Amino acid sequence: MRSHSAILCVITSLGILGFVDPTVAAADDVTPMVIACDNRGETWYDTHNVVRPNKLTHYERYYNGTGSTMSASFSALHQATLTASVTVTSGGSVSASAVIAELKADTGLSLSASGSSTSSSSVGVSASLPNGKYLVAYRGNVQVTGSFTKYYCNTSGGLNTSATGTGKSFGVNETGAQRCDLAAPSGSMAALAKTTAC
Amino acid sequence: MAFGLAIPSATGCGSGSDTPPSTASGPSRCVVEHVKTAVPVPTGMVFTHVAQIDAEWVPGQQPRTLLEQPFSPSITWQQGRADEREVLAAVAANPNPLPTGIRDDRRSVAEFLQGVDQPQGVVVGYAAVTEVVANLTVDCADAAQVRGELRTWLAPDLGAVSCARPPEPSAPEAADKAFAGFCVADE
Repeated sequence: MRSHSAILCVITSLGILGFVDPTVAAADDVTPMVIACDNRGETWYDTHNVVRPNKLTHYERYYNGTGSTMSASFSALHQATLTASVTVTSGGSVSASAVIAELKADTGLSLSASGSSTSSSSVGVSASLPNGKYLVAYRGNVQVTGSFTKYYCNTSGGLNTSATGTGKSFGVNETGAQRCDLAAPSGSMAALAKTTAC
Repeated sequence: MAFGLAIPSATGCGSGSDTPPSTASGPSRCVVEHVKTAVPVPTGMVFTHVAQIDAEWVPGQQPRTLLEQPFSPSITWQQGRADEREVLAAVAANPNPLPTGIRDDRRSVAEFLQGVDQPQGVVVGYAAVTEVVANLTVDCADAAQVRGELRTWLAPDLGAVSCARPPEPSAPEAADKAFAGFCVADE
Protein backbone atom coordinates (compact mmCIF):
# COMPACT_ATOMS: atom_id res chain seq x y z
CA MET A 1 0.00 0.00 0.00
CA ARG A 2 2.93 2.26 0.69
CA SER A 3 4.71 1.45 -2.55
CA HIS A 4 4.31 5.08 -3.47
CA SER A 5 7.15 5.92 -1.12
CA ALA A 6 9.59 4.63 -3.69
CA ILE A 7 7.98 6.81 -6.29
CA LEU A 8 8.18 9.81 -4.03
CA CYS A 9 11.90 9.14 -3.65
CA VAL A 10 12.20 9.44 -7.42
CA ILE A 11 10.15 12.61 -7.36
CA THR A 12 12.30 13.99 -4.58
CA SER A 13 15.43 13.29 -6.57
CA LEU A 14 13.92 15.26 -9.40
CA GLY A 15 13.37 18.13 -7.04
CA ILE A 16 9.67 18.46 -7.64
CA LEU A 17 8.11 16.90 -4.60
CA GLY A 18 4.85 18.61 -3.89
CA PHE A 19 4.38 19.75 -7.45
CA VAL A 20 4.00 16.87 -9.83
CA ASP A 21 3.09 17.80 -13.35
CA PRO A 22 3.54 15.02 -15.90
CA THR A 23 3.28 17.46 -18.77
CA VAL A 24 6.35 19.40 -17.74
CA ALA A 25 9.25 18.80 -20.14
CA ALA A 26 12.93 19.57 -19.86
CA ALA A 27 14.00 22.63 -21.83
CA ASP A 28 16.01 20.64 -24.36
CA ASP A 29 13.64 17.73 -24.57
CA VAL A 30 10.58 17.62 -26.79
CA THR A 31 9.18 14.57 -25.04
CA PRO A 32 6.83 15.38 -22.15
CA MET A 33 8.28 14.05 -18.92
CA VAL A 34 6.16 11.31 -17.46
CA ILE A 35 6.86 10.11 -13.97
CA ALA A 36 6.45 6.40 -13.83
CA CYS A 37 4.74 4.52 -11.05
CA ASP A 38 4.38 0.82 -10.50
CA ASN A 39 1.27 0.78 -8.34
CA ARG A 40 -1.17 1.18 -11.18
CA GLY A 41 -4.69 2.10 -10.19
CA GLU A 42 -3.75 3.20 -6.72
CA THR A 43 -4.49 6.54 -5.09
CA TRP A 44 -2.62 8.00 -2.13
CA TYR A 45 -2.03 11.23 -0.28
CA ASP A 46 1.07 13.08 0.78
CA THR A 47 1.11 15.97 3.24
CA HIS A 48 3.67 18.74 3.49
CA ASN A 49 4.26 22.09 5.21
CA VAL A 50 2.68 20.59 8.31
CA VAL A 51 2.64 22.89 11.34
CA ARG A 52 1.45 22.02 14.83
CA PRO A 53 1.16 25.03 17.16
CA ASN A 54 -0.49 24.87 20.56
CA LYS A 55 -3.81 26.72 20.69
CA LEU A 56 -5.85 27.71 23.70
CA THR A 57 -9.59 27.15 23.52
CA HIS A 58 -10.35 28.23 27.11
CA TYR A 59 -8.52 30.40 29.59
CA GLU A 60 -9.05 32.76 32.53
CA ARG A 61 -6.65 34.62 34.77
CA TYR A 62 -7.37 34.64 38.50
CA TYR A 63 -6.03 36.86 41.27
CA ASN A 64 -6.29 36.10 44.96
CA GLY A 65 -6.43 39.22 47.12
CA THR A 66 -8.41 37.75 49.99
CA GLY A 67 -5.53 37.67 52.46
CA SER A 68 -5.30 33.89 52.64
CA THR A 69 -4.69 30.93 50.36
CA MET A 70 -7.66 29.77 48.29
CA SER A 71 -8.30 26.20 47.23
CA ALA A 72 -10.96 26.45 44.57
CA SER A 73 -12.32 25.23 41.28
CA PHE A 74 -10.98 27.62 38.68
CA SER A 75 -13.31 27.80 35.71
CA ALA A 76 -12.10 28.52 32.21
CA LEU A 77 -14.72 29.74 29.77
CA HIS A 78 -14.73 29.12 26.07
CA GLN A 79 -12.62 31.48 23.98
CA ALA A 80 -12.12 29.82 20.62
CA THR A 81 -13.15 26.70 18.76
CA LEU A 82 -10.79 24.49 16.79
CA THR A 83 -12.23 22.51 13.91
CA ALA A 84 -11.08 19.61 11.79
CA SER A 85 -11.69 19.90 8.07
CA VAL A 86 -10.28 19.29 4.63
CA THR A 87 -10.47 21.88 1.88
CA VAL A 88 -9.73 21.15 -1.76
CA THR A 89 -8.02 23.96 -3.67
CA SER A 90 -7.65 22.14 -6.98
CA GLY A 91 -8.70 18.89 -8.55
CA GLY A 92 -11.46 16.49 -7.74
CA SER A 93 -12.87 14.70 -4.75
CA VAL A 94 -10.73 13.64 -1.82
CA SER A 95 -11.11 11.40 1.19
CA ALA A 96 -11.07 13.64 4.22
CA SER A 97 -10.32 10.68 6.49
CA ALA A 98 -7.31 9.77 4.35
CA VAL A 99 -5.94 13.32 4.57
CA ILE A 100 -6.38 13.40 8.36
CA ALA A 101 -4.76 9.95 8.57
CA GLU A 102 -1.76 11.29 6.68
CA LEU A 103 -1.52 14.25 9.09
CA LYS A 104 -1.64 11.74 11.95
CA ALA A 105 1.20 9.78 10.41
CA ASP A 106 3.23 12.96 9.93
CA THR A 107 2.81 14.21 13.47
CA GLY A 108 2.38 11.02 15.48
CA LEU A 109 -0.58 12.64 17.20
CA SER A 110 -4.06 11.34 17.78
CA LEU A 111 -6.17 13.71 15.69
CA SER A 112 -9.90 14.29 15.49
CA ALA A 113 -11.90 13.36 12.43
CA SER A 114 -12.92 15.89 9.82
CA GLY A 115 -16.12 17.66 10.84
CA SER A 116 -15.43 17.59 14.56
CA SER A 117 -14.71 20.61 16.73
CA THR A 118 -13.55 21.38 20.25
CA SER A 119 -16.04 21.86 23.05
CA SER A 120 -17.51 25.23 23.94
CA SER A 121 -18.47 24.16 27.47
CA SER A 122 -16.56 25.73 30.33
CA VAL A 123 -14.04 23.61 32.20
CA GLY A 124 -13.03 23.60 35.85
CA VAL A 125 -9.60 22.97 37.35
CA SER A 126 -9.02 22.39 41.06
CA ALA A 127 -5.96 24.20 42.36
CA SER A 128 -4.57 26.19 45.26
CA LEU A 129 -3.68 29.87 44.95
CA PRO A 130 -1.73 31.76 47.65
CA ASN A 131 -2.64 35.31 48.59
CA GLY A 132 -1.34 37.96 46.22
CA LYS A 133 -0.69 35.50 43.37
CA TYR A 134 -2.08 35.00 39.89
CA LEU A 135 -3.07 31.76 38.19
CA VAL A 136 -4.30 30.88 34.72
CA ALA A 137 -6.84 28.08 34.25
CA TYR A 138 -6.67 26.81 30.69
CA ARG A 139 -7.59 24.19 28.13
CA GLY A 140 -5.94 23.83 24.75
CA ASN A 141 -5.05 21.49 21.94
CA VAL A 142 -2.32 21.05 19.39
CA GLN A 143 -3.72 22.32 16.10
CA VAL A 144 -2.29 20.54 13.07
CA THR A 145 -2.48 22.15 9.64
CA GLY A 146 -0.89 20.98 6.41
CA SER A 147 -1.12 20.99 2.66
CA PHE A 148 -1.83 17.75 0.85
CA THR A 149 -1.46 16.33 -2.62
CA LYS A 150 -3.52 13.43 -3.86
CA TYR A 151 -1.65 11.20 -6.28
CA TYR A 152 -3.02 8.66 -8.69
CA CYS A 153 -1.05 6.04 -10.58
CA ASN A 154 -2.95 5.62 -13.79
CA THR A 155 -3.44 2.39 -15.67
CA SER A 156 -0.57 3.28 -18.01
CA GLY A 157 1.85 3.58 -15.09
CA GLY A 158 1.99 7.38 -15.19
CA LEU A 159 1.78 9.48 -12.05
CA ASN A 160 -0.99 12.06 -11.84
CA THR A 161 -1.76 14.70 -9.27
CA SER A 162 -5.51 14.48 -8.92
CA ALA A 163 -6.12 17.01 -6.14
CA THR A 164 -4.42 19.45 -3.79
CA GLY A 165 -5.64 21.28 -0.75
CA THR A 166 -5.26 21.79 2.96
CA GLY A 167 -6.23 19.74 5.96
CA LYS A 168 -6.48 20.72 9.57
CA SER A 169 -7.30 18.93 12.77
CA PHE A 170 -6.54 19.02 16.47
CA GLY A 171 -5.12 16.69 19.09
CA VAL A 172 -6.34 15.59 22.50
CA ASN A 173 -7.16 18.49 24.80
CA GLU A 174 -4.98 19.44 27.75
CA THR A 175 -6.49 21.14 30.80
CA GLY A 176 -4.52 22.69 33.62
CA ALA A 177 -3.67 25.57 35.93
CA GLN A 178 -0.44 27.55 35.74
CA ARG A 179 0.73 30.00 38.38
CA CYS A 180 1.99 33.24 36.83
CA ASP A 181 4.95 33.44 39.22
CA LEU A 182 6.17 29.93 38.47
CA ALA A 183 8.03 28.63 35.43
CA ALA A 184 6.29 26.51 32.80
CA PRO A 185 8.07 23.98 30.57
CA SER A 186 9.19 25.56 27.30
CA GLY A 187 6.84 24.84 24.42
CA SER A 188 4.12 23.48 26.67
CA MET A 189 0.43 24.40 26.75
CA ALA A 190 1.07 25.81 30.24
CA ALA A 191 3.76 28.09 28.81
CA LEU A 192 1.33 29.34 26.14
CA ALA A 193 -1.31 29.97 28.81
CA LYS A 194 1.21 31.92 30.89
CA THR A 195 2.36 33.99 27.90
CA THR A 196 -1.19 34.67 26.80
CA ALA A 197 -2.88 35.49 30.08
CA CYS A 198 -0.39 36.36 32.81
CA MET B 1 -13.83 5.03 3.04
CA ALA B 2 -15.44 8.24 4.07
CA PHE B 3 -15.59 11.18 1.77
CA GLY B 4 -16.02 14.69 3.00
CA LEU B 5 -15.12 18.19 2.13
CA ALA B 6 -15.03 21.35 4.15
CA ILE B 7 -17.30 24.04 2.94
CA PRO B 8 -16.75 27.74 3.44
CA SER B 9 -18.62 29.60 6.17
CA ALA B 10 -21.37 30.16 3.70
CA THR B 11 -21.89 28.99 0.19
CA GLY B 12 -22.19 31.77 -2.26
CA CYS B 13 -24.82 31.66 -4.93
CA GLY B 14 -23.82 33.04 -8.26
CA SER B 15 -24.92 36.55 -8.90
CA GLY B 16 -25.85 38.22 -12.10
CA SER B 17 -25.14 41.76 -13.11
CA ASP B 18 -28.61 42.75 -11.97
CA THR B 19 -27.85 41.80 -8.37
CA PRO B 20 -28.09 44.93 -6.26
CA PRO B 21 -24.95 45.82 -4.33
CA SER B 22 -24.94 44.79 -0.69
CA THR B 23 -24.46 48.34 0.42
CA ALA B 24 -27.93 49.17 -0.81
CA SER B 25 -29.73 46.07 0.29
CA GLY B 26 -31.26 44.58 3.42
CA PRO B 27 -29.48 42.69 6.18
CA SER B 28 -29.79 39.27 4.56
CA ARG B 29 -28.58 40.23 1.07
CA CYS B 30 -24.86 39.73 1.70
CA VAL B 31 -24.09 36.03 1.64
CA VAL B 32 -20.98 35.94 3.79
CA GLU B 33 -17.97 34.36 2.13
CA HIS B 34 -15.09 35.68 4.19
CA VAL B 35 -14.57 38.05 7.09
CA LYS B 36 -11.38 39.91 7.91
CA THR B 37 -10.85 41.59 11.26
CA ALA B 38 -8.25 44.24 11.99
CA VAL B 39 -6.08 44.22 15.09
CA PRO B 40 -8.41 44.87 18.04
CA VAL B 41 -8.05 48.14 19.92
CA PRO B 42 -8.71 48.12 23.67
CA THR B 43 -11.27 50.62 24.90
CA GLY B 44 -11.27 49.83 28.61
CA MET B 45 -12.00 47.33 31.32
CA VAL B 46 -15.58 46.35 32.13
CA PHE B 47 -16.95 44.13 34.87
CA THR B 48 -19.17 41.27 33.79
CA HIS B 49 -20.01 40.03 37.27
CA VAL B 50 -19.33 41.08 40.87
CA ALA B 51 -20.48 39.27 44.01
CA GLN B 52 -19.64 39.27 47.67
CA ILE B 53 -19.49 37.02 50.71
CA ASP B 54 -18.99 37.99 54.34
CA ALA B 55 -18.20 36.51 57.74
CA GLU B 56 -21.69 34.97 57.95
CA TRP B 57 -21.22 33.11 54.71
CA VAL B 58 -20.67 29.35 54.75
CA PRO B 59 -19.33 27.24 51.89
CA GLY B 60 -22.09 26.06 49.61
CA GLN B 61 -24.09 29.26 49.86
CA GLN B 62 -24.48 31.41 46.79
CA PRO B 63 -22.62 34.75 47.00
CA ARG B 64 -24.67 37.95 46.93
CA THR B 65 -24.67 39.40 43.43
CA LEU B 66 -23.62 43.05 43.26
CA LEU B 67 -23.39 43.41 39.50
CA GLU B 68 -24.53 41.19 36.66
CA GLN B 69 -23.58 42.45 33.25
CA PRO B 70 -22.83 39.68 30.71
CA PHE B 71 -20.91 40.94 27.69
CA SER B 72 -22.46 40.24 24.28
CA PRO B 73 -20.25 40.89 21.25
CA SER B 74 -21.95 43.06 18.66
CA ILE B 75 -21.36 44.70 15.31
CA THR B 76 -21.99 48.29 14.32
CA TRP B 77 -22.38 48.50 10.55
CA GLN B 78 -20.64 51.35 8.79
CA GLN B 79 -21.05 50.49 5.10
CA GLY B 80 -23.82 48.11 4.11
CA ARG B 81 -24.74 45.28 6.41
CA ALA B 82 -24.82 41.51 6.64
CA ASP B 83 -26.44 38.98 8.91
CA GLU B 84 -24.74 39.50 12.30
CA ARG B 85 -24.94 35.87 13.41
CA GLU B 86 -23.45 34.72 10.12
CA VAL B 87 -20.62 37.23 10.38
CA LEU B 88 -19.85 36.30 14.00
CA ALA B 89 -19.74 32.63 12.99
CA ALA B 90 -17.25 33.50 10.25
CA VAL B 91 -15.14 35.50 12.72
CA ALA B 92 -15.12 32.50 15.05
CA ALA B 93 -13.92 30.29 12.20
CA ASN B 94 -10.92 32.49 11.39
CA PRO B 95 -7.47 31.01 12.17
CA ASN B 96 -6.91 33.46 15.03
CA PRO B 97 -10.44 34.30 16.01
CA LEU B 98 -11.68 37.01 18.30
CA PRO B 99 -14.23 35.86 20.88
CA THR B 100 -17.79 35.96 19.59
CA GLY B 101 -19.67 34.30 22.43
CA ILE B 102 -21.51 35.92 25.33
CA ARG B 103 -19.28 36.38 28.35
CA ASP B 104 -21.25 35.38 31.46
CA ASP B 105 -19.10 34.90 34.57
CA ARG B 106 -21.74 34.38 37.25
CA ARG B 107 -20.88 30.72 37.73
CA SER B 108 -17.11 31.25 37.54
CA VAL B 109 -17.18 33.89 40.28
CA ALA B 110 -19.47 31.79 42.49
CA GLU B 111 -17.23 28.73 42.14
CA PHE B 112 -14.11 30.75 42.81
CA LEU B 113 -15.53 32.29 45.98
CA GLN B 114 -16.24 28.79 47.29
CA GLY B 115 -12.47 28.60 47.74
CA VAL B 116 -12.45 31.30 50.42
CA ASP B 117 -11.83 29.63 53.78
CA GLN B 118 -13.86 31.35 56.49
CA PRO B 119 -13.83 35.02 55.41
CA GLN B 120 -12.97 37.37 58.26
CA GLY B 121 -14.94 40.19 56.69
CA VAL B 122 -16.39 41.10 53.33
CA VAL B 123 -14.74 39.54 50.29
CA VAL B 124 -15.66 40.72 46.81
CA GLY B 125 -15.29 38.40 43.84
CA TYR B 126 -15.20 39.93 40.39
CA ALA B 127 -14.93 39.07 36.72
CA ALA B 128 -13.82 41.62 34.17
CA VAL B 129 -12.81 41.74 30.54
CA THR B 130 -11.02 44.24 28.35
CA GLU B 131 -13.49 45.62 25.85
CA VAL B 132 -11.99 45.87 22.36
CA VAL B 133 -13.18 47.10 18.99
CA ALA B 134 -11.94 45.83 15.64
CA ASN B 135 -12.77 46.96 12.13
CA LEU B 136 -14.14 44.14 10.04
CA THR B 137 -14.58 43.67 6.32
CA VAL B 138 -17.06 41.16 4.97
CA ASP B 139 -16.61 39.75 1.48
CA CYS B 140 -20.01 38.83 0.08
CA ALA B 141 -20.68 36.11 -2.48
CA ASP B 142 -21.58 38.71 -5.10
CA ALA B 143 -18.13 40.32 -4.71
CA ALA B 144 -19.52 43.25 -2.77
CA GLN B 145 -18.01 44.24 0.57
CA VAL B 146 -19.64 45.50 3.70
CA ARG B 147 -17.79 47.06 6.61
CA GLY B 148 -18.42 47.41 10.27
CA GLU B 149 -16.91 47.49 13.72
CA LEU B 150 -16.89 44.47 15.98
CA ARG B 151 -17.14 45.14 19.69
CA THR B 152 -15.96 42.19 21.73
CA TRP B 153 -13.86 41.21 24.72
CA LEU B 154 -10.39 39.91 25.51
CA ALA B 155 -8.23 39.20 28.57
CA PRO B 156 -10.75 37.73 31.02
CA ASP B 157 -9.65 38.59 34.54
CA LEU B 158 -11.23 37.10 37.65
CA GLY B 159 -10.31 37.55 41.25
CA ALA B 160 -11.29 38.16 44.82
CA VAL B 161 -10.29 40.97 47.17
CA SER B 162 -10.72 41.45 50.87
CA CYS B 163 -12.50 44.66 51.78
CA ALA B 164 -10.46 44.85 55.01
CA ARG B 165 -7.48 46.41 53.24
CA PRO B 166 -6.56 47.79 49.81
CA PRO B 167 -5.17 45.31 47.27
CA GLU B 168 -1.41 44.93 47.08
CA PRO B 169 0.52 47.03 44.53
CA SER B 170 0.89 43.94 42.33
CA ALA B 171 -2.87 43.52 42.08
CA PRO B 172 -4.54 43.97 38.68
CA GLU B 173 -6.57 47.02 37.70
CA ALA B 174 -9.76 45.01 38.11
CA ALA B 175 -8.93 44.23 41.75
CA ASP B 176 -8.31 47.90 42.50
CA LYS B 177 -11.57 48.90 40.82
CA ALA B 178 -13.52 46.15 42.54
CA PHE B 179 -12.18 47.31 45.91
CA ALA B 180 -12.88 50.98 45.16
CA GLY B 181 -16.27 50.38 43.63
CA PHE B 182 -17.81 47.56 45.64
CA CYS B 183 -16.15 47.52 49.08
CA VAL B 184 -16.75 51.08 50.19
CA ALA B 185 -20.47 50.82 50.83
CA ASP B 186 -20.10 47.86 53.17
CA GLU B 187 -17.06 48.93 55.17
